[in-house]
Amino acid sequence: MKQMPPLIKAGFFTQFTLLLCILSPVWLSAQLSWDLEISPLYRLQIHDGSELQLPVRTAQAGLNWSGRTFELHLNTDLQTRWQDPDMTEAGLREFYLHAYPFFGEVRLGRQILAWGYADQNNPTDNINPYNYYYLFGLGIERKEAVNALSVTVDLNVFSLQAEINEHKANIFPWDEADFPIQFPPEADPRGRSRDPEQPWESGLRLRFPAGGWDLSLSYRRGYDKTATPVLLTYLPPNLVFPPDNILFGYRRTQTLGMDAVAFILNATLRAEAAWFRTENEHNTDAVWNYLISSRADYLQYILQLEYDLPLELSFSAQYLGHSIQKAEGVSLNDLRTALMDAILNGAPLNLTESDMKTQLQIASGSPLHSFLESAAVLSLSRSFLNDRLNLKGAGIINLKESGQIYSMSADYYLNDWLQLELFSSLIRSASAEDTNFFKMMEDFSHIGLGLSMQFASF
Amino acid sequence: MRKVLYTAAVLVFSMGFVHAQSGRDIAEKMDSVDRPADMASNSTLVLTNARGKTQEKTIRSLSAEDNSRQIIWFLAPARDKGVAFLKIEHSDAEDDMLLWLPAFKKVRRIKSSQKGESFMGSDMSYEDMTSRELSEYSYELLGEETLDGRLCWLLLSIPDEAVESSYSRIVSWVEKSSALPLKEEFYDRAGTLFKRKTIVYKRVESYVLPSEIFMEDLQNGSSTRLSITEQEVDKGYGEDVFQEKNLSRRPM
Repeated sequence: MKQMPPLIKAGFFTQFTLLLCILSPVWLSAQLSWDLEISPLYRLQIHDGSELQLPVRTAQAGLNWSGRTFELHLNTDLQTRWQDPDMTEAGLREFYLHAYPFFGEVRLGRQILAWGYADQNNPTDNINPYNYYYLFGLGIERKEAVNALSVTVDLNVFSLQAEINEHKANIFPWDEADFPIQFPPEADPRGRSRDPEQPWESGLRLRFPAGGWDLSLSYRRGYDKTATPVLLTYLPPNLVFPPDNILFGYRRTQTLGMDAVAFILNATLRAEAAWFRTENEHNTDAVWNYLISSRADYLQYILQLEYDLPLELSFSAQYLGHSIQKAEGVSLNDLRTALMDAILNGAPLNLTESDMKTQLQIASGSPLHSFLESAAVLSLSRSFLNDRLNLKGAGIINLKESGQIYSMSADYYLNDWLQLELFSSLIRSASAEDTNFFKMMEDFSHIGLGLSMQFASF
Repeated sequence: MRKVLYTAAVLVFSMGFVHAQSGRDIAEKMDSVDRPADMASNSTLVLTNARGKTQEKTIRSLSAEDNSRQIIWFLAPARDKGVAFLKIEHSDAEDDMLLWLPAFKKVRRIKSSQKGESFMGSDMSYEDMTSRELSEYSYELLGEETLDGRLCWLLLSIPDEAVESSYSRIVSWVEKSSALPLKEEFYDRAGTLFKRKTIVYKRVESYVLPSEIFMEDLQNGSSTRLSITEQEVDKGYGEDVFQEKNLSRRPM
């Protein structure tokens, strides 16, 4: 019988259960509340009118126990594929304790922690991995929870947050014809990737006001969330064939972040930047293992301007991108050349390093920053009928290569608990390159209809 | 003839002077009405659009220092549950206005020019929820009028140029016996009548406090009725309550 994967690691679960038992007298005096959202969604591809064959999050439910100085949150979800109901999956989204001691906040458990003042595309937000099935979703819908401890100390106008979390990789839609992007694009790391030996990451974030700005400075020490080639297993071809096997892993990455928000005249300005230093530090634990070295420094940045236009229109513009300062190591091209030489000429394997600026795979930071060297994101929205009807139009324009995404949505609340959503998304690129993100995703263009039913205890 | 004109000019001038003085006096009287140090309340907001369609929202509010510190949690409907708003007014700096958005797990700072925007789709703006600073307005007594059998001063308040307000003037019907405003009319920056607010009071312990606020948008025909169902006063809510960290938690 096929064994279901555990929702969360047993060790952590045992520890958490123990904690709950210790605190059981406290729970008895706590208040319980719940919420439930059922949101069926139907999407048709524009190019051929067929249904998008991808999972949708059709239900989410939450339970909260609240005491005087603590809360316990449990959030679950249900992901469904309409074409194959057998693949319906129930999952534990979050399960964490949120305490409010006199000095600030403490959060412990499986949770989503969000950093950064910009909207949606946050280079400094590197604690939780992204689930690319929900790449075009909003807010925490796109993220996966991780086991983490976060402590925030408030001191006058300063707020210092320290966190430690378990490393977890991004989730990619492999073998999905309707979502054809791959990371890395050259190879499929499934079944041959290594988790970090010490899978813990940590970070600090200091927030404070200065000269009319709200500022935040952050530092994180962790790993990439997307796998890249890290080790080459090579044995002479007379011993084994094929003689080579590339292993994938997560480079150690340090991040220095800065984000800020200020109100200038009638506009709101948000700025965020993160500088990444990444290095492959994997252990060559066997003589037939070779390190595929890579070291890189790069920057991701975003500038966001929000402005209220006449006719109660809300306008937002983002300029975002990345720049690579340094990237050296063994690129996949170098690797293939060295392997050819070794296999065909019987020469010892010699992996030489070179400048790999043009071939560096950015594997940390926000997804959009990773694909796009320079882009503009524009959005215009307006609410009608006391917020019952919300209309929104948005566009993502690649400023370096050909590629655009246009989206439109209309949400209408039929009553207090039932919302109707109509939306469309159009992705276009004139690029001839198959690896162009927009080109790959053209067939993902779709129109959709959704319902959202929301219920909650009072 | 010259003497008559001179006397008339002096009279007109002095009447204006007396009215301006009286306006300020009335505003000061309103400002000095006895208020609780802090207040907790549960309220229902009924929003009615121009076509008569209604929706209801329930909120929990804690406030202190004459409403200059306030935290509001939305309890219902389910789609708004978890959203919370924190306001801390400063006399010498821009007010802090923060909104907790649970779908993003982020606190979003609202700029003061957004004060004129609707508060959660209601006819009340963020500005309507802030207390008017006495020194930021000039006042004029327009006269006296009886409203529902209660004798009122008619007070005109005009925001100073430096004040960021979505109103050009506010006319208040201030009950003479209590110095409480029973009705207010708000004019937009173009000088057109924009909103009308009527307030019903009730006694809570030793204080007279609003129990119902009805705000009408006279330009688009919508309205919002805020009914305060539960009210507690002087519970000792300190500064630690009005903190950003409390936005994400269950209402206190």
